[in-house]
Amino acid sequence: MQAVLRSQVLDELRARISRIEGPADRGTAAPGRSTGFTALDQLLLHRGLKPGTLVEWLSTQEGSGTAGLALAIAGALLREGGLCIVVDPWREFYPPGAQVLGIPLERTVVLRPPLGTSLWWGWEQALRCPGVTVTIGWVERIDDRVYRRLQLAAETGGNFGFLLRPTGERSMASCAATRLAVQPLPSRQESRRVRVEVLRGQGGGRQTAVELELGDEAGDVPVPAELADPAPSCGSARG
Amino acid sequence: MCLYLPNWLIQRRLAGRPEGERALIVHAGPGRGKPQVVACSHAARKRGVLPGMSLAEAQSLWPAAAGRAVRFEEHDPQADRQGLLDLARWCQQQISPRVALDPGEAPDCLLLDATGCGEERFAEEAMAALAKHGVRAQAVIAGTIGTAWALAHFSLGDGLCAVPSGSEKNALRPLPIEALRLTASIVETLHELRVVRIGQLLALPRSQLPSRFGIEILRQIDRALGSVAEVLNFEPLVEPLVGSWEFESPAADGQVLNAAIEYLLDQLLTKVPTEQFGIQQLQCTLKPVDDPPVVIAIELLRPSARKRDLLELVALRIEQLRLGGEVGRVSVEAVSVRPLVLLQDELFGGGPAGAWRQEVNSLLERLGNRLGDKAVLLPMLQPEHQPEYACRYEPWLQAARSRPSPVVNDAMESALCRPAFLRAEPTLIGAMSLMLDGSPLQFEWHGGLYLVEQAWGPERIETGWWRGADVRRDYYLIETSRGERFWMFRNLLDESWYLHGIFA
Repeated sequence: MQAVLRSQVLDELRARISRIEGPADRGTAAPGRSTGFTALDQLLLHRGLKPGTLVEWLSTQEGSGTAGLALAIAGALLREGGLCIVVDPWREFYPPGAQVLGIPLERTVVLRPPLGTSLWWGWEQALRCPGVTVTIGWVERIDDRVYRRLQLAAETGGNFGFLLRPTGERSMASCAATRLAVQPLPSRQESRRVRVEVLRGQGGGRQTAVELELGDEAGDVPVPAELADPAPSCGSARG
Repeated sequence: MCLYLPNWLIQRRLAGRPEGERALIVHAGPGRGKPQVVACSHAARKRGVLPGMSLAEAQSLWPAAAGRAVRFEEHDPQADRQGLLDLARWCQQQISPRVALDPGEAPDCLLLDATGCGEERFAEEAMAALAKHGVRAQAVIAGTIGTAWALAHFSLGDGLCAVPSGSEKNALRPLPIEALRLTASIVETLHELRVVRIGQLLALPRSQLPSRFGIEILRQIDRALGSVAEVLNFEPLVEPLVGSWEFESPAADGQVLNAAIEYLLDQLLTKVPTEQFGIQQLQCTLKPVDDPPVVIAIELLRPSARKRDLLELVALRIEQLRLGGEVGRVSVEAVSVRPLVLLQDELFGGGPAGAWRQEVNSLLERLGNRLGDKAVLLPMLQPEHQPEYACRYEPWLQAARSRPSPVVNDAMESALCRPAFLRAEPTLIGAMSLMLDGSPLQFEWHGGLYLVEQAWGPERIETGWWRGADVRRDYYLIETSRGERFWMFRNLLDESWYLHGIFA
C-alpha cells in the first residue's frame, strides 16, 4: 500500500516538474517515439522521444559522435515518413555521410539561411509544419525568447527539433523537453561507442546514463544496437 | 492535345466567312519551275482543282470571263504563320495559356497542354469556342504529341478523338508513314520498299532501321510512342496579366502596400480561368518616388488560384524590404499561369509528409521565397569519387516542379565510410606517421594534440585530372585515444596531411 502511495506521489511530482520544465509535456505519460535504441528509450520519460518537443544534444568535444547519434535517431524516426530539414548555415552538412546513418535524402531539405533573424525564422517555419518529422541543426547561442518560440512551434507542428549544441551551453537555461549529453568512448571494434547522459526528460529510474554502440561508421549502413548492462551513473542530471 | 485546322490556308483567308460558290485558289509564287496550286477551297475542288496541280491548268478550268467566280491568291507562308500565331494568342486568352504552334515548316495545327484539365471536356469546349470564333477544328487527345499530331492529320474521323494512354501503338498502326512527320526522302525510300503504313514500319527489325534510314526514323517513332519526350515551345503570353496602382499620396506602410497588391491580385485573378489555371510565378514591382523600382518575384511549387497563398508569400517578402523612400506606384504581373495540376499524394512518400502535402508545399514555398532558391536545397548524390563533388544540390522548388511525382533522388546507395559533416576546404594539419604509406600516430589540430588509437584505411582516391587538378589521396578514418573520430587524408602528391571531415 505504501509502495502504491509512494509511486502516486512520485508520478505527481514528476508531472509537476514536467509542467514547469517543458510545457509540451503537460505531464502526460503517453508513450513517445522510439529512438531505435531500447536502452536509451528505457531511460526516457516517455519511453522514447515525445513528438512536438525539442531535444538538445550536448556535444562534449569535436568528433564526439553527437550529431551522428542524433542523425541515426532522426533516420529511425523518418522511417515512418515525413520530411527531414537540416538547418545548415555553415554549409558543412555532408549528405553522403548522413545517408549512411539512415537519413532519406530524397525527403531531406537542406536549409542554408543567413545567420540572424532568417535562421530562427527558418527553424520556426520547419518546426511548425506537421509534414516535417525532424528538424536538425547546430545551435550555439540562442536567445531565451527565440528558444521558447521554437518550442511552441514544435508543439504546434507535433514534430521533433534536434538542436546540436556545444557542452558549454549545459549550464544555460533550455526549453528542450529532453537534454542529452553525448561523450565518445574508445571503441572495441569498428562500431562506435558513446555514452549518453540524460540531463532532462529522464524516466525516473536511478540510472541516468547509458552506453550505446552506433552501428558501423567505418562502412555499411548502421543498425542501431545497444550494449548490455550499461554502467549506472551518479551524474548530476535532473530528472 | 492537338487542334488540327483543316485547310488552314483557306480558312485563314476566308476569316470565318462561308465559302459560298466562289472558288479560292492559293498558288505558289514565281520561283523555280511552274507555279502550282498549294491549297484550294471546296468550290474549287468541285470544279476539279487539286493541290499540286499547275496554276495554268487550274486557270484553264474557268472561262476567261469567269471574273468574280474564282479568286487566285499568291501563297504567303509568313502571313499564314502569323495568322496561326494570332489564333494561338486568341486561344491563350480564351482556352489555355499553354499553347504551342505546330513545329513543322507549314504549321496547320495548335498544340495545347491539357494535362489535369479534364481532357475530353476541355477539348469539346475548345472546339466549341473555336467554332464560335469562325474556325473549324478537330481535336485529338493523346499521351504523346506525335500520336495526337498523326491522328489529327491522318485519321478520317471528325470532331474529337481521344487515345487512351498506352494505346498509342494500336492507334498509329493503320496510319500512313507520313503521319510520323518523317522527311520526304525517308518517306520516298519506304514507299519504294512498299512500306506505307506505320504498322508495317513497326514490324521491321528496329536495330536495322538507323543504318538504312538514319537515326531520325527511330526518334520520330519513339516520340510518337512516348519512349522519348518531345518538348514544346509554348508561346509567351502576348498580353501579360498585369495591373498597376498609382498612389495619390506615396505610401511606405507595409499594410497599405499589401492592400494595394491584394486589390491588383483580385483584378488579375478575374482574368484567369481559376477553375483550370493558377498562377505559378508572380512579380510585384514597387516604384519608390525617388529610387529605382524594387522587384519581388514569387514562385510557387504548384500553380495556385488562391489569393491567400499568393498574398502570404508577397507579404513575407515585403516584411524584409528596406525601401529607401515612399512608394508611388505598385504593379502586379502573373508571369506564369499554368493548369492546376492535382497535387500528388506520393510527392514526399507516404506518412506525415504525404498526408500533409499542402502544408509541406506551403512550407517549401515560404522558405524558398523568403530565403531564396539557393537556400532551400535537395541533396543529390553523384557518382563521383572525390568527396567534394559527390553531392550536388538542386533548389527544392525546381526539383519538385520538374518531378511531379515522386521526387526521386538518383542517389547511389553508399556503404562507404563518410562523415556527416565535411569541411568546405580540407584543413592542413601536422601529423606524424612512422611509415610513408601508413596511418598517422598522432596529429595536431586547433592547438590540441590527438593520439591515434585506431585507424581504418587507406581508401585511395585518385581522380580529378579532367578538372585540371589532379587529386591523389589516401583517406583514413581515425579514432583518437578519447574516442573522437575524424576523417583525414594524406595528399600523395606532397605527403602532407589534411583533416577533411568530422564524425561530429
